[in-house]
Amino acid sequence: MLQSGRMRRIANDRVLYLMLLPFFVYFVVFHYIPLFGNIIAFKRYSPARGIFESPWVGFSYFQQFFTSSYFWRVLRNTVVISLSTLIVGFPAPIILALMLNEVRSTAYKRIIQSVTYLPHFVSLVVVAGLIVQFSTIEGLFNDIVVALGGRRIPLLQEARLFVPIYVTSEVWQTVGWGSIIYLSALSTIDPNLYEAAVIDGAGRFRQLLAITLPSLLPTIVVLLILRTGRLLTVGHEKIILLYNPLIYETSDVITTFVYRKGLIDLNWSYSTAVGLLNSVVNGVIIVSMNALSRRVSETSLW
Amino acid sequence: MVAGRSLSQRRFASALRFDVWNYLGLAFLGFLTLYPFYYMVVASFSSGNALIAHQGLLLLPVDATLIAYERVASNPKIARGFLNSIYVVVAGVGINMAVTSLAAYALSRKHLVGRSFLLKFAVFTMVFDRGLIPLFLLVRNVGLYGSLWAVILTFAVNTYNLLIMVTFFRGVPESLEESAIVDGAGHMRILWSIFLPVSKAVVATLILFYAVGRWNGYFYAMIFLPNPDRWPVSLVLREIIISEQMNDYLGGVDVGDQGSVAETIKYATAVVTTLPILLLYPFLQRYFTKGVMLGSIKG
Repeated sequence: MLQSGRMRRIANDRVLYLMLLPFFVYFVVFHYIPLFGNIIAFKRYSPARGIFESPWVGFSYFQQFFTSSYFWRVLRNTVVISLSTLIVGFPAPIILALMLNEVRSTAYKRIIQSVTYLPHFVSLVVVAGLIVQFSTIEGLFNDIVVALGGRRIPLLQEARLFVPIYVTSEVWQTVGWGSIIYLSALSTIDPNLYEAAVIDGAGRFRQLLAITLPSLLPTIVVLLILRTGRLLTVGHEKIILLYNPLIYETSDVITTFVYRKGLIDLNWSYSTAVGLLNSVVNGVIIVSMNALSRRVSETSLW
Repeated sequence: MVAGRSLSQRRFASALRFDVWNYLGLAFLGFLTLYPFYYMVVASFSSGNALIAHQGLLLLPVDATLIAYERVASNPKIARGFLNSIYVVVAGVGINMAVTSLAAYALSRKHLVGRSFLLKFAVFTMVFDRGLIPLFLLVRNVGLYGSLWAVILTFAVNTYNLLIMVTFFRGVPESLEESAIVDGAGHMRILWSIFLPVSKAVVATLILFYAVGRWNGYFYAMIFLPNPDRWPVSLVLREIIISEQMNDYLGGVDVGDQGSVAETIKYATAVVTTLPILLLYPFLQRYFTKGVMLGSIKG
């Protein structure tokens, strides 16, 4: 009986399932089939033989990666870049939101917000292009270096400078946009709390410590946990616009390595193996961090 | 002296000092954000040699000229790039919105059998990346390689945007829907004439999110489109500014001037590529904060 009632409901909703068809086909074809395609990580794939006819090789490509000198290099660079971006980039929007929150002129506040959100909408190619241009020997960054008493050098050809340049530009791109969520959390704080604090004789700084920061803490914790879920995720799209072989030592991360090995060197299976490893590790981290977030705050990605 | 002042005077002075520093700090941050874009515009109107020779803060065009824009306007690659980008944005966002809103409507029906499975089915792809190489091989195997549709179809739905819309649709009052059902309207009609009109803010937000992503995207165009005739303008810009492949853009320029003009063409191309975003910016402003907030609600 129950089963047939369920069937009847499904039949009644056939229009709804029809509406879901494009969505379903898209995810099957463009996500789940590629997910299945990851099996070439365990095969010696050649385009001529295809996925099914290519011979199985077990974990040999994973082994090859673990024993190569690239393994430590790309892992180290990924962790260093991700952690540096987290350490500098995570507090930045909080500080910006707190600063904006203290501004009483709404016009001024709105102007600063509009300006700081802008980089979020500008193409990575433009952003990276400006960084590349400014970093050349005659570029703006070198003009600044000279003004500060330094010497002109091609900045993007110095391995030791890549991480600072990358992290600074990340913060520059994301600080304004990242502050939105904190600003909205700040706007929900009960104004009576501040009034009570003023009556108790608390100054602005004391109010910040006693009211504002504690109210913001739940948001900060959740975002920090979710951000940590992407600890081993450093995208390739910006880095491949900025790096060059001279600085691979500090700029080559897992995703750029996958791109180069696969699409430039055409090592299909090897590159897929590295990418799959990264996907699995990332998936595990995201799921655990999401579970943690749900435990501490009942907020999660899903 | 200080000891002579009352507590409230001192407090006022310190609050004022705080405000002044806060305003100045934010102004400096605003300057740091805006100046690179300002530099880009000013440099595009300068002459290349003067620009290279110039040191320190650039405030106005040096040796002002329009030659970079003349080169950009007369370059067929850039013009074709614009057309390709417009094609990708119009067709791509059309497909994005159609698939997203149809699915979001169905997935917001609480009684739908399999609803939670289908949501998990989509969310799983956010957690577990499909992989760059398998995606590339799939595109090649289904014959999309080389076509703009490779870029359009591989990003037909953004799960995050879908969740925003599902959340919003769930909040649509049932009374609105019931009256339509009484009138004999089907699901398509309810979506089209009730859900979409009452969700204008979300629809606008998602259109803008999708459109900006489509316009700015370069990577998948780069790997799927070997033929430069198909390149969107972002990819043309990459060739000019990052790879410095300038030969196609300097036709008709005296050999002696090529280095100079090459320098400013980069900036002029960056400006024209960013222009549509800047024109949309007032609209983006109005809606995007809402979008971010909606996104923070559990899907």
